[in-house]
Amino acid sequence: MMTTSTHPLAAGYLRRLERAARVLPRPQRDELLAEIREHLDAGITPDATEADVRNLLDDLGPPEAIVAAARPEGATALPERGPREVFALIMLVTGLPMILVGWCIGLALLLWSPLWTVRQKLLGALVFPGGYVVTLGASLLMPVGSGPGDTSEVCTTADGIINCVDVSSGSDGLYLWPILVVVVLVVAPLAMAVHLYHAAGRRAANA
Amino acid sequence: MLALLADEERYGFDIVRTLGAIDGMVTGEGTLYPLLSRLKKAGHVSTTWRESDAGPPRKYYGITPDGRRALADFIVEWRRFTAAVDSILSRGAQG
Repeated sequence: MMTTSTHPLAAGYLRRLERAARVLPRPQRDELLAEIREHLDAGITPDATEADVRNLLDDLGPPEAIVAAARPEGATALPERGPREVFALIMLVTGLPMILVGWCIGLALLLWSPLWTVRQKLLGALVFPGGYVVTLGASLLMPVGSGPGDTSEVCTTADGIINCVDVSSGSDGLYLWPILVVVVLVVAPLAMAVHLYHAAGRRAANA
Repeated sequence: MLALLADEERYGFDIVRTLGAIDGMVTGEGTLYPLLSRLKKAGHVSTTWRESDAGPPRKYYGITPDGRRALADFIVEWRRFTAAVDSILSRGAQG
């Protein structure tokens, strides 16, 4: 008997649905997949032609549309902003508890959470790799490396990317440039964290 | 959908195909399954598994007392709404 599992078109459709349904919570996803599988089993008779199967699938509509219809189920569709999001941001900003390890855990949590868009995840990953532990540690070396009147280049490495800053300290405004850099390095990640924290809250509330 | 279940229990495929066959009712039949599961969550329908004469057992949907109440409320609302729209349309046709 030609059943769902054996008909290549129906099997392909189910695979597409399965992929699209990953955004749904587990029980809801399993139920939806079972329903559609049952629908296909009931609709595809042993003597069904390829045209019959195609018509049945067309009538069902695209799998993505079915998943979209299943989604706006209030808070169940997306989890609340929880410790995962908070830990992600703390670890991304500080890089604690351990150099690079903390930041990598933060990055993993950031990518894992469904509450942020791709753009927001990118922002969280880029401002700034390594977290305070790396960026501050490196920037603190700057004034040390360039004495008054010197012209030197200070290089910091963050995740294999080498950033070189020309530190030309003249007679006045001695440490203005490094101070500015430090301020940016401190403030930007904080601003990023506040922004993403609110973004996650909004996303969860609007789900 | 509740009206469809008012007289008898039906299984998912049957409900979806019936509604899908009505012109202008739905665009993708598949989207009716999430609707069914929402009605179930709201307590308006219940499900039971039944053996089928061919193939594996099927999940049958039936209306609950809550569902009946919701349906009755909806019918009243719907009649009021269509009556209002009809009266406006006929006034427009006269004027």
